[in-house]
Amino acid sequence: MTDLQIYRALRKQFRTIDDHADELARRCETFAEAKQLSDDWAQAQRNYLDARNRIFDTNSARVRELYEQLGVAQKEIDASLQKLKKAEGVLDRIRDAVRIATSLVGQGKV
Amino acid sequence: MAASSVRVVFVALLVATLTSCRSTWRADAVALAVRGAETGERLAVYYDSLARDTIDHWELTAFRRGFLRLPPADVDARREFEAQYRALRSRARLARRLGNVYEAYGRLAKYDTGGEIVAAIDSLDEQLREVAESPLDRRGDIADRLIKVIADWKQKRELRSAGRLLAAATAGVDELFRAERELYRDIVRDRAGNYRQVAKELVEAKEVVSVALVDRVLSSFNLEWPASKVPFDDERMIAGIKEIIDARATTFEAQSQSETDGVARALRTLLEAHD
Repeated sequence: MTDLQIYRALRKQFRTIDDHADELARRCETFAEAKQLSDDWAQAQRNYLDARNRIFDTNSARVRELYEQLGVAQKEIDASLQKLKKAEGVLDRIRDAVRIATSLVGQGKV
Repeated sequence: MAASSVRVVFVALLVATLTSCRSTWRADAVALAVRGAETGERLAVYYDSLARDTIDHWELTAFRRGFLRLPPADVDARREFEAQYRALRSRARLARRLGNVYEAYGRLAKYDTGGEIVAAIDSLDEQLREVAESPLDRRGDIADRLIKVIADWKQKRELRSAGRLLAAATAGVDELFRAERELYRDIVRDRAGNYRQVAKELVEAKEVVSVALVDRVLSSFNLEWPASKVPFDDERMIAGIKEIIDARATTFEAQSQSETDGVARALRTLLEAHD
């Protein structure tokens, strides 16, 4: 039986109780019966959630992997943008140097 | 015609051909980035809502047990609910990161490398002219266009490489969503089922005023319930109200489930946009 098949079986069991809890509670005549219903209901819910979490857990490694993969993609995209801006940056620095030279020429210091 | 003139004409034709589809690839990449950022956010909101449904389910189950006067159970599902909540929150974080990376891709696509370089050269040329004759050849626009073509080619390469990384990650997220889709539908269904059960149990116990549910029918004929602030006592009315709750709950659940389908479609469309 796969995890998914187990999950489906436990889901069915839980819903059988959950969908009829009020009706079942009304039929309880003694405290022992009510306690039994309460325990069975809670246990069925726990089993159902546990089976679901088992599937989530199986995939959690993949979630982490994808999260990391996207982090790498983010860094590469940012680096690409910086690379493209580099040529413009170099030209800007040359322009600043020329501006300083112009101002020195203007002041007669060169 | 001199050889140099032939070369100029050839370069001009080449540049014209290469630049003719310039705006299309940039616009396509920006559109993909917008779609990706929107899908990532939609997916994150969806996971957040499933996480909220998890809390609702936990609280409503506790309420129902108390309301039905059942004794406390020996077992407690708090740990399982918390684990489910954490799993969904981690998926919401993943979806947000997906959206953020698409936003970064959009910034990369929007940046006009060629235009920025030419503007920088123009500015440098202007500065040089203040000192002496500029050594930069700014006579024709062919050089500018060639710079743009080369810059665009470089940018296109960067975008293609980033696009490949994003397509692979999006395929992974889509695969994860499809693998867990049944679980998501169950979380939505359980939460809707709990709301429905609580509402019906409250009506059944004559604890709530449910006249509003039949008011619309009465008001269409100018009819009014005599004592509108009192819970229904009549068993036929209680049965009718419970039926209305069932019908409405089905509609509410269908609306929530259609968001599951909508998110799945959005992810598929995003993947197809990469092709």
